[in-house]
Amino acid sequence: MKVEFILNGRPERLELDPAASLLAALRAAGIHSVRSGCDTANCGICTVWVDEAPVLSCSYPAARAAGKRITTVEGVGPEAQELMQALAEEGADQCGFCSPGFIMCALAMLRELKNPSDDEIKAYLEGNLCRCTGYMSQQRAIRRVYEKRAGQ
Amino acid sequence: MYQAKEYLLAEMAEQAYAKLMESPDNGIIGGGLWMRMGHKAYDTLIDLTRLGLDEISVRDGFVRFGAEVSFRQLETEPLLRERFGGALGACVRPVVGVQFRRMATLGGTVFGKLAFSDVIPVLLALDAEVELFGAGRMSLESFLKKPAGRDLLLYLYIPDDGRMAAVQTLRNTATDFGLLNLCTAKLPDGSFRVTVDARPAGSVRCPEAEAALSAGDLAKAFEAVAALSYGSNLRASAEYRREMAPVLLGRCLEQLKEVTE
Repeated sequence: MKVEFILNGRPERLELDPAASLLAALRAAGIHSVRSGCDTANCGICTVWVDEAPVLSCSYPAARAAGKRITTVEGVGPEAQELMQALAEEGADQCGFCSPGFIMCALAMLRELKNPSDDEIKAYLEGNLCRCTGYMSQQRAIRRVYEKRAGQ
Repeated sequence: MYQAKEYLLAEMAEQAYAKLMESPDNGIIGGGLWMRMGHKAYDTLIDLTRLGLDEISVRDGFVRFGAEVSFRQLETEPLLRERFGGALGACVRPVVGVQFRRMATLGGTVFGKLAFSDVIPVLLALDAEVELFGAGRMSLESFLKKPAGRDLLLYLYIPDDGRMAAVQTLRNTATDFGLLNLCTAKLPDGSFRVTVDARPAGSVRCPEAEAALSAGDLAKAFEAVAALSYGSNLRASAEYRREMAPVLLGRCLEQLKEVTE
């Protein structure tokens, strides 16, 4: 079946299996930052935005995305820069496998929660698993971004 | 992962229902999160996300939920912050992560009668009703007892009369499935509802515990929830569940005190 959506601001038209996941569609479209981690909707690695909301692309039907705006980490360059720098400074970016999904979820949180507590940050990101960092460095990086923004 | 020959983004409930009835090999896809764990092959998957069923509203003495309302909406919807003791938001908060909860739908968990549901015990304790395209409106309790049928779940309703609920869950690790979920609701007439889920079988009410609580006999209520039928699976034994059910009931009652006093 043909599916059309807006991918990172540009129209995309793909010929897909009717049961294809959005993850499969995005990889077919050449977006290789989006990866399959657990393939059971639990790890958050495949997180992308559909109409600005974070979803798990491994489980989101590609056909459901018809007419919607899909954003991957390739589409949030300038917005992600500040977060990526903070992650690097805090040593929170190690093997990098989970980073694209983590960044998409963390950016969604930065947009949605204005002044969250540490517990609220943890709760928002608990669907993003990382096997390298132990999460503390990620939390410090996010706190750093919030504090930087508050100071501006 | 499921397979499908066609995918229909239904534009009208009538169209979705007609397509569903057309073949036993056609099926409805809700959030798709549990469905993706199976390998069923469908002729046509019917998607309800374009039917405007993603709203929560107050009407005619009920809070009405469209079947496509997501778990995340239950957490963030201002209408639900104080209503029902905040139990609808609280029950979904431990479910995986924000992205998952944006996709998981009320309709998916209720129509699927999922035995590990975090939401069904709360809906059942709050005397929720369901509205189906074919079978019409009925209590959730009746719906859960009916054999699985082919129909379209459109809406859920909860009486908007000040009833309050508290919910407790036990999990081996954060974000895992609950190994025991228990909800207690207090109705405006002072009576109680007690529901237990993930026993590991599906949600049931415990009328004996409800009667005991109404009579102020706490010990009898604890005995009654422990006397429900429990089973063992990978997450916990029947004995553990039986031991912990009264503990969760006690915690729910403490919580209920806080929201009702």
